[in-house]
Amino acid sequence: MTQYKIIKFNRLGAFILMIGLILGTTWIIFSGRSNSMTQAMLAGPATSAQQQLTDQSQGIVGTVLSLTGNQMPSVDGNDRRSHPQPVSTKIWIFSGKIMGSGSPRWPVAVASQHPAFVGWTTSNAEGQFQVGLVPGEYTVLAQYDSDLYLNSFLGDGSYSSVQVTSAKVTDIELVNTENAAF
Amino acid sequence: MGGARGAYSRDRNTIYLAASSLEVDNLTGLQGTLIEEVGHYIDTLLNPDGETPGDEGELFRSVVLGNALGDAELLQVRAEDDFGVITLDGVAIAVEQDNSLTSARNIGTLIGTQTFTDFVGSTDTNDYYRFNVTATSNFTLGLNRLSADADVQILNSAGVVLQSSLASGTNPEAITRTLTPGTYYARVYPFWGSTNYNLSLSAVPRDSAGNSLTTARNIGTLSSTQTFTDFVGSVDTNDYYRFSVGTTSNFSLALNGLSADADVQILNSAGVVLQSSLASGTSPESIRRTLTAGTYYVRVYPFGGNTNYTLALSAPAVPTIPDSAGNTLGTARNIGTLSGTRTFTDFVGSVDTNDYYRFSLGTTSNFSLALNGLGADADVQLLNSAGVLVQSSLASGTNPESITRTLASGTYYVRVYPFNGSNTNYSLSLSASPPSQFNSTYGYGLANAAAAVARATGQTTPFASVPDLGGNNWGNDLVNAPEAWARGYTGRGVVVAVIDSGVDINHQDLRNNLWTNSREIAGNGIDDDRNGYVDDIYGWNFGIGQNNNNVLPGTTSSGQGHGTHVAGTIAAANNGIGMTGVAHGSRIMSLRMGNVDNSGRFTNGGSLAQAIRYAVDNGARVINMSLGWPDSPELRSALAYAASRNVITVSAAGNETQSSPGTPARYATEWGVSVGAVNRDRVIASFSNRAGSNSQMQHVMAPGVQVYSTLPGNRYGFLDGTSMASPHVAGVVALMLSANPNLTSAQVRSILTSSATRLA
Repeated sequence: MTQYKIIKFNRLGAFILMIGLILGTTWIIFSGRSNSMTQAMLAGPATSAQQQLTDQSQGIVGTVLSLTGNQMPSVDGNDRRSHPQPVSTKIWIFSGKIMGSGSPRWPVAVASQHPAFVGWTTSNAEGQFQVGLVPGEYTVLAQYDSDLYLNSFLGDGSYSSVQVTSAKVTDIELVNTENAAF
Repeated sequence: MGGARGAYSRDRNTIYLAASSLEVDNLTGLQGTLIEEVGHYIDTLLNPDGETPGDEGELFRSVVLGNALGDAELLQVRAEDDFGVITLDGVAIAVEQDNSLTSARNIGTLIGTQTFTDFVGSTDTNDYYRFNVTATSNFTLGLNRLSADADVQILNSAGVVLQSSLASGTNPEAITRTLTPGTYYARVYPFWGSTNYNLSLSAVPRDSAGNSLTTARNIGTLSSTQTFTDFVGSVDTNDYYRFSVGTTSNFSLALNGLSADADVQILNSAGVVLQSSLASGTSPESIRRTLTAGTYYVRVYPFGGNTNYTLALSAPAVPTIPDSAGNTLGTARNIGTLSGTRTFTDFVGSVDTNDYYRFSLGTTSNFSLALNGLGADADVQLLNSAGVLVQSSLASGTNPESITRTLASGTYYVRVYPFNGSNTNYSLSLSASPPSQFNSTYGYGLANAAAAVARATGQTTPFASVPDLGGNNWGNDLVNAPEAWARGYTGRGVVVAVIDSGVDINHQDLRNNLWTNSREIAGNGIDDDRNGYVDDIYGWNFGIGQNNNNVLPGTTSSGQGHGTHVAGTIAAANNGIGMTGVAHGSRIMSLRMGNVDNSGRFTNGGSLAQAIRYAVDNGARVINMSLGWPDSPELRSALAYAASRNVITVSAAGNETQSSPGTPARYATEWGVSVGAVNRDRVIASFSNRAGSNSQMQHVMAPGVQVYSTLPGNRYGFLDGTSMASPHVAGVVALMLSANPNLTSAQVRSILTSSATRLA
């Protein structure tokens, strides 16, 4: 199991040192890995009114990645294959499940009007982000230009959601495969 | 009172006495019984809350009467010997009931020797053993190690004594006789005193068939069906039968009625094995082949356990078929202009060494030939009008022969001939159809299930259109799968192997459409079906160092979820959840090639050739390979092997925008099918490898952009790639085979390409 050690860093947020985090090569992992923590305080998302929601002792940490080029499973020794690239972008958070529209893309103009919108955070140059949330179910999408994007759905057609539970951090990856060929 | 002499009821506070108590002497009869039941009464006074271990009445009687109890008796009384329950005055009462036939120790089927140690005496006057004999057997009973006189009997199922042994004193007892199938009892009882004993029971089924070639049961000349019932097992490891046939005959063998795994072989007069049948478990065995005149042996032998069996043998003479095909080019059977499919049945062998057929083509055509129904090895050739060889098919044994190629207009001959003079009937199918226009980009065009499945059933016109499903099922619509579903063809009965990164076998849309190996017992560490793979229930992981039966995606890298996406496109259930597979009635055999890193490479890829052979040998009719692999002789040999068994390999063309397919798709010039990707507007995907310049390349197109399918963890998602196009075609092939399981590899390739919708 992934182990986290979390140290409170300043009043605006928390610096998270993740020891032994198995980055691996996960993609679209939405089932998540929840981990106990005792002292974590994650900064809440910023709302559309530019308000910073309160710090929380549970939430989501994640990585935004993009895959490109030929990704067909092979034994070909092709060194030109690209590796997942981190994406620095805005992360949108909605409460509950959001029904998909038959596409991974969801126009920002539409999404921003959705009543379940909670707020957003951003991923850094390594594609990593963290956000403190009250316990509950959330849908998390990454922004690409004028669209939000999440290529993971449930059997009823809704976007895959994330469960945040008390005093635990849920780990996800948001992978864009639009420019990859399998 | 069920054999009891007395009983004490706690509920009624009453001692009951059987009338038989008065018929024996005072100490063991009325007096002893009364004392014993008083003992039980005292027990209830001291232990009002319930029964305590041991027979208090027996102990009380022994103390009062001053009877010494032997060690064995004491052990038994301490435990309890109230074996029976009777109902008196409406309440159940435990009683010290005599052993009887109904309470006999059941030892089940007696094969070989079983030994029992026990005690009989004043407190246990009968020991009964019940057993079954399933085949006429030589039965022996031995009773020894006696310290007092005891006797023994064998009784039939009605309790009638068949034989007794009444040796005096402590001399051993013995019974030997033949027992026919049925239920029997052995009774051990004291004649005087009490004694421990050692009882051995043995039943060895009679062996009507010899255990070697030289002692084989000779059944003479075999023609019509003869049936034999016998036994093989630990005490009879071989049954041989000898027979002869006077002329070329269609030999048939069936081994049924098995209660344990047994196998069977046919051998020639020199004892060389000609053919074996090695079905697993109690599945019937069968052998069918043509035998020339001579002497043969059948060997029946156990694989594990003991079993009776019924062996049926027949060898009717091969009927003489009129020779409708000439023996030379000049006398060839002229079938005129070949259009569509024509089928001919005939014979070649030692007395008819050549069958020639002559046909003509009015225009360049896709030609295919299939030779089936062989009882012995025969080969086939295609020759041009001058008698010059164009192409041969030289498959070994009774494997089907096939030739598929494009032929220019003109006259041609087909020659069928026996290999090594073997005699065989055959069924020859010849078909010719105008070729689809081969295109270096799109190959033969977009796979079309409505036309291909119709052709598979012998219809020349495609199935009628049905409304599109729309939405994320656009891929099914593009290959016209719903048109085949509407006719009842969903891939049912067809196993599709997905050689890939593993499959989430727990996915809600896949778990009910998985192939499982019914001949294997899960988790017992034994290769039950002897296919070379232990506990391969869901398939196999061929990743090097990972041969651990784990077909689930092993990592969370992008490529590791790949196989689940591919499997969903083929066979995701039509259940209103997520999406629906092209052949949702088919079943997925998952063959995982190893771990995939975050660049899509197998880090420990196993042998693709072995995976292909596994799929073929374990019942797959279609193999999807959405992967890239290095070329090797082993891989080519495996692809050829699949084709020779009429298993269709469907391979993704590759995603490098190359002018021709990569490996293994490139071998679709000879075996299987190559698949490129188009988008929903039927335009080739920018990444898709092209068909190339060789029209022998059986290359078709299928949806491969924004394909929605299953992902591990009950999820779904969109992916692009020829990996997504290939399973659409694998699904179409499964639909074709569910409509006509007898299609050969050559016929599937020909129908698939000739029925494809032209794209340009």
